[in-house]
Amino acid sequence: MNKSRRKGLYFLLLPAAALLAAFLAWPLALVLWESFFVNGAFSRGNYLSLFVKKLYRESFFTSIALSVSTAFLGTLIGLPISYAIHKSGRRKGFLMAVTSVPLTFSGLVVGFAFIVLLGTSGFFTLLLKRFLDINPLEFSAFLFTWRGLVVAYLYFLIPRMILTMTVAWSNADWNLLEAAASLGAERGTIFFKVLLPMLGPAILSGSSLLFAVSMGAFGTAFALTGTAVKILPMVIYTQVSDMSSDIAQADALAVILTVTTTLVIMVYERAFRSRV
Amino acid sequence: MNPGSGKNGVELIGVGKLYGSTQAVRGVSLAVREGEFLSVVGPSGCGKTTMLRMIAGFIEPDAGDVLIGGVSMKGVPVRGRRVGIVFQNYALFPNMTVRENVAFGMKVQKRPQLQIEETVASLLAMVNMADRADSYPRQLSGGQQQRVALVRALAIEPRVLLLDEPLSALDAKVRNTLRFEIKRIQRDSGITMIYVTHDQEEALSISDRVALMRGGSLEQVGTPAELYSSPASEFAADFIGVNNILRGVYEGGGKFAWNGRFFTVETPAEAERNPGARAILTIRPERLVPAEAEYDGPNALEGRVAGRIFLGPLTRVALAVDSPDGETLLLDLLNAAGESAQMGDLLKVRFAPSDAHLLF
Repeated sequence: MNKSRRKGLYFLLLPAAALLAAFLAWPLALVLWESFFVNGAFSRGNYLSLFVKKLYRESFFTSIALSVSTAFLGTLIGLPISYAIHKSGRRKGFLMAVTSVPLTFSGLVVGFAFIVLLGTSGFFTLLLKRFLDINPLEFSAFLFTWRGLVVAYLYFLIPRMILTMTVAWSNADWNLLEAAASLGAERGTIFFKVLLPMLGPAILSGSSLLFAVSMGAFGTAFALTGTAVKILPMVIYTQVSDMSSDIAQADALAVILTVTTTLVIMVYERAFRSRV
Repeated sequence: MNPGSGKNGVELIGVGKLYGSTQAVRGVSLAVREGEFLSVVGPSGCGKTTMLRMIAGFIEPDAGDVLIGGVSMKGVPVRGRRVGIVFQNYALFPNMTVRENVAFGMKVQKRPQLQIEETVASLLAMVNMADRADSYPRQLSGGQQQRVALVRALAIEPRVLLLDEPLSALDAKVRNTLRFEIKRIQRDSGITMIYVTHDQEEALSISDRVALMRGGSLEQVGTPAELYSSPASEFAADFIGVNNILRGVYEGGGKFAWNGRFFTVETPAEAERNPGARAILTIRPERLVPAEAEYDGPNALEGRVAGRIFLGPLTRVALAVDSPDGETLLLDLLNAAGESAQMGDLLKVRFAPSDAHLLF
């Protein structure tokens, strides 16, 4: 294809570009712009308040703790399951379909599901009370803390890890491990020098995906804890909806959320690129 | 002396492997001499790769034993066997440079750094890859990657080098070059090589001996010339090279009956026990030679040219023989200037009794 024709083809991208501009770039720019105004005057105040106001600082670190925990646990649990599914032969298609089901639920549904199962009068809570005499209030209290959110988030994060890793397992070159063994390498050497570098990129991109998703997740937390657990998305929501709404402050927090998530993904991508 | 018992020889004794209900390898006994180049050839699914993997130690045989240097390998892990392996897909470590790949085996053996560097340099020079030492595998062509994989396996000074379809992923030109490069390295280093391939031509061209497998068993083991000119079975006759396979009846006294014709054939003494038995006569296309129209000696056939393929030095002709079954024979004609069989030409051919091979 000659150059001028290829240039002409860029016109075909115009509708998509217009869509992106209208619904992604423009709102983002608007959010960024508005975040710099305090009472109608240009200011960095909304950002400085992150360091000043305890609520914002704490919600930022709670979000980070929640997302790091879910990314770590999701990766740890998802890895062996994805390997088992990869090795499951004829049942693989079925298992993959079952794995994808949690991804189709809205976050709210997941939240209510956990209340129905593990809440104060939840199915398992009552079972445990019946047979092990465990206090339902004490047991279910856990669910409504940020650690409880970790458990609930894992429900829709583990499938994401599995889907990412199943692809990696099927693209993996097992001959590399055999070659290493034939060259005299011990299991440990094979694991660190061959297997990890081989799967590392997929594990990194999978876990950064989990991190990003749980940084931004809202519905599940909202259904479970209302605004009780202070995580960034919830604080943003409060700023927009409460009587004392402060849109500019919400904008600033949204920018911080977006920038943090993007930065983490970028760092991950860097790490991944330098390895291969 | 037992041929497989040399220091670096390999011996398989009644080796078998069952996968579910499929007997992948059944009772294979084979001795590979130290310094020998043995090819294992056969159609896909014949068990040749399974056999190789049992020698390497990736698979434990269900039955029998694998000996390397006369020592049983039962319970010896892959890394303890000092067996080099070259894979079809090269299997170079993508996160390491060429130099690091070749050094890997010596590094895990904790050889002195200086020795590692010298060995890597000389090995890379041997396969003309010295100037690519700092490249990553993905920056190399397939042929270059396989050269690196080859010397990476040689770097540990293996007792045996196993090659699993090493050239199958390469294009024809590179395949031919590399084939002889492998042969040269084998000759120079005197290393025992077991070379698995589905390409019988490749096997014939580089091996000291060829082992033909079928359905998990050894069909025939011999020098390339033996397999080519004296196939032990119809399968061998058909799989190795191109062959005309004539089904008929052995009449005794060196007479073979086929489609109402009688051919004179050379027969081994034991054939005389089977007069009247169904038999197969195989004749290589190049052993069918044009006969003059007035030729009235034995083993003459007449037919019309029904197809022709130009193969450079020769033309392969499909000759439709005048017979009730409408059989077609293949013959190779050397391409001489200005003469060539044309479609529909009537052609008379003959073969010498010693050029046909009788099988029961």
